[in-house]
Amino acid sequence: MVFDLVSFILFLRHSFGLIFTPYATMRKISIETKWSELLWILIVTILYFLITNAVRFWVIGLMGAVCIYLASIIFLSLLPAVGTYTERLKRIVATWSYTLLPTFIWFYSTLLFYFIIPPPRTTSLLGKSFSIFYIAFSGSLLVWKLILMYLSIRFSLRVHLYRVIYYLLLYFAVSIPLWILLYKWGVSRIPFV
Amino acid sequence: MKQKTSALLKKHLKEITIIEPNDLGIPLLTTAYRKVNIFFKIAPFVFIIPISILGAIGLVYIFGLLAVQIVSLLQYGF
Repeated sequence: MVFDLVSFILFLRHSFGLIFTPYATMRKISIETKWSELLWILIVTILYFLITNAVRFWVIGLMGAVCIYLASIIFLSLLPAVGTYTERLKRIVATWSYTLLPTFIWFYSTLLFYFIIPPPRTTSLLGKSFSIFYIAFSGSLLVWKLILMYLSIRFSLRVHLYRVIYYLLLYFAVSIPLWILLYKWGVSRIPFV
Repeated sequence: MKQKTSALLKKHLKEITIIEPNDLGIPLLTTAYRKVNIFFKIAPFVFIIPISILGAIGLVYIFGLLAVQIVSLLQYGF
């Protein structure tokens, strides 16, 4: 129990650290992350799908999310970088898991907004105001996610800026068709995860 | 106490030297990169949130109905 509490505190500390000092926190995560910490990310994921189960899908959505996560870490750890494959895989598992934080926040908030202010939006003053808020909120989380993805690759693979950009472009080139495919198959409700 | 501080400093030094600093090849570019990079290292939301709000206002102003429809689509996406 104490062990779980310690890992939970570490998880919270790293999560808040990624908001206020993303660079230093991601560097720390790439060096000394405990596996039990990552368990909390899995718990948050399963909890999300359990909550949405009441409204939408369950197993197929979770399976899709897990497949994308596993494919991402395997793909990134296979790219040429500093260290052996195992070292890179360990680092990428730790740092890439934390890049899911903006995704969680977005999905949990969207779930909440769905019940508080149900769609569709209108072009009235209130509708436009909420649209501005929602686009700004989603945009901020997207930029934060991109920063975390950049830092994750930088510290896990320990490569320079140009190569990080190249790897990110490569990652998107492979992932975007996959996201669209999952959207068409009905695994995800929007064409990205 | 002195030994503890020394150990902590050594640990921190090791931590910050795990990767080489970015060198973009052109000194002017490297300097510009370092100046911009500072904003992303500590509390990036201080800059991201105002820019996102301005961007969102611009999008709704330019695209109007389309931007509102995209919000509706995203709201169904959870």
